[in-house]
Amino acid sequence: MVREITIDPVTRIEGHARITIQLDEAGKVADTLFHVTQFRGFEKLIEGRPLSEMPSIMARICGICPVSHLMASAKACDDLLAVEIPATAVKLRKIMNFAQIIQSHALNFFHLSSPDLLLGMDADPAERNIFGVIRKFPDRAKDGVMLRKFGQQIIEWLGGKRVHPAWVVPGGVTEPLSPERREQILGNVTEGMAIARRTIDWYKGIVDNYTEEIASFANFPSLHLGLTTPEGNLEHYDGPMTFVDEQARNIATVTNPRHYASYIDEAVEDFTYLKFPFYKPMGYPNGLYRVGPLSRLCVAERCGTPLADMELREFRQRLGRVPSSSFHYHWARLIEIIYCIEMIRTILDEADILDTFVRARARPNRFEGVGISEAPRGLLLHHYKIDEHGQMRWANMIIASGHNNLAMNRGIKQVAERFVDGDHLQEGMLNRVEAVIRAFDPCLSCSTHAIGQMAMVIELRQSDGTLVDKLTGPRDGDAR
Amino acid sequence: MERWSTSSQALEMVMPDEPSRGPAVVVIGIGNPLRGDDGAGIIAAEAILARELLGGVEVVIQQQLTPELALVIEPARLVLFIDADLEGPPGSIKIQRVRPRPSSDPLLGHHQDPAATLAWCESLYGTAPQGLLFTISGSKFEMGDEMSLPVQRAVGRLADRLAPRLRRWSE
Repeated sequence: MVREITIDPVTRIEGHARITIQLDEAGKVADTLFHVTQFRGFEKLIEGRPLSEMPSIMARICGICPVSHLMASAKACDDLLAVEIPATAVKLRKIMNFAQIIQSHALNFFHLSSPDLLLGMDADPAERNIFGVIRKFPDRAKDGVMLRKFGQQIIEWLGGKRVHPAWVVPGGVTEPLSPERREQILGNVTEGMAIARRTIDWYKGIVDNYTEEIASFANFPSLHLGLTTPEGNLEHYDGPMTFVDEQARNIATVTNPRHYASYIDEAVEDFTYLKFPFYKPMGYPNGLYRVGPLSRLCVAERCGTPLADMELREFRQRLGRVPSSSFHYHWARLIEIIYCIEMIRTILDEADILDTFVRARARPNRFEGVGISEAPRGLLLHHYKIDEHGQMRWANMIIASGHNNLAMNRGIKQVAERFVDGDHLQEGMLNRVEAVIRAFDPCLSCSTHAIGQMAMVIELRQSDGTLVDKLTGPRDGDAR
Repeated sequence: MERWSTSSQALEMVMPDEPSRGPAVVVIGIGNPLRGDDGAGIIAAEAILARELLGGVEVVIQQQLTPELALVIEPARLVLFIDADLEGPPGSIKIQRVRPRPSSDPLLGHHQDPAATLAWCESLYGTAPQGLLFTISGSKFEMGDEMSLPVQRAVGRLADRLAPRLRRWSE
């Protein structure tokens, strides 16, 4: 008799998803599926729109990481215009991208994942939420709020508003940086760095408490994909797309993003709206690869900034050159926050950062363009085709959460096999199944308005639909 | 739930007398202006901003409420949330007091409502400003940046009524 457990929705992630766990006759996990249950359709609705509107429209894909789509979209448009954008504009775009990564990593670490890390995977779910963290660890919660504000404030100062700034445009940015804004940002760097450093010091002290989770949270060798500088260092804005294997050996370097389709293909499954990108030379599903903060640290030779490189050395001393467990996305995220703050300070100190030439202007000069950048969750790619009037004919986007789809599906099976006992359903078991998804920090789209509330129900059913067991009541974030 | 017939009556009832360390009032307009009437909160906040308020009022535009808003509202005495409403006659304005309540949408880590925003503030800093939620009922939420006529009128009406009071407090 086959039975099935459904976790619907998956909590403390960005977007809407559910997980099903199929059990065999002995009550052991036979299979798992990660279903992304929302459909957006942006690739279709932009058809016929002028390319100049693309960055603003595409930023609406997400309310949490609009800057990422803004970057990739603007870069795809730069490619269509066939312009080299001013050097200062590149630097300003980078600052905004770093700020975006800081605030997004802070959101995942402090607000979504810290309840598991601070209160325990098996803690009472009525307490295991951000308000439980605030009650028991108010200083950590304040740090999370401050770090997010640090990133959001930079985005607002540069772009004019926190969410959906229209400052990044095809050809560069609309406004140069003023000396006053530069000083304001620099004035916040010290506190941001202090928070980042005490957070990573704390995390390094508790990570060994999670040996069981580390062993089973999507813990397997795989390929990793990320951008690097031409020298092979950590990179988030441009540069070659680099694939490495589980020993950090270079598998492929894609220097021209327009050639991505020779290396990445996308498969479709009927149980989810999220596609399954895979490394094309290895086929589907063997071409599983991971992206995001952990992968970027695996791909890069070094970070290229002093404090982040010091942290990276310790990370590699303790975990190896390419850590196989996806639990370590958390640690990688904290190293990247330090790196981003260092980079913001470095760029703001460069002589030409206040230059007023920040936008190149041109008419479309190509019919096809590709833009890439590193979003907080991994490599983001926008591919556009336009007609002779500059109107959009076609678009394809490969988002970070898609790259990780194969790994997330394999990860939930691994953790379910380790923790789920079909005869004795306990909430903590299922929280771990969700937590492996949280480690990847998928963004399944945040810009849709959720209407009403979804009840969190976990059901265990026989294959004929008969209810065998059911867990209801408060789940993560629920407060009485 | 407390309700008032007019916005000025509501403001008078909840505005405390004690001085504020930062802005006396924070106005937060919420919505997506690319989804028709859903942008009513943002357009209303922008209309209030355009009425030349002085330094004691801070106007914030948000597509959604986020945790770090706790830092923005913490020094204030009063926070006004303005949002669109799916229900009610198009163009009608409802006013209600908001009290701190943790995570009334418990499942989505990225989403919070006005009560949760006040709860973040109260939990982190031991105090939260008074809160009022103004909602404007809409009827047209399709893609597009044009609001329906009743909502356009309601936005102007709300800004006209709130601005004089806010201007007085901002002096």
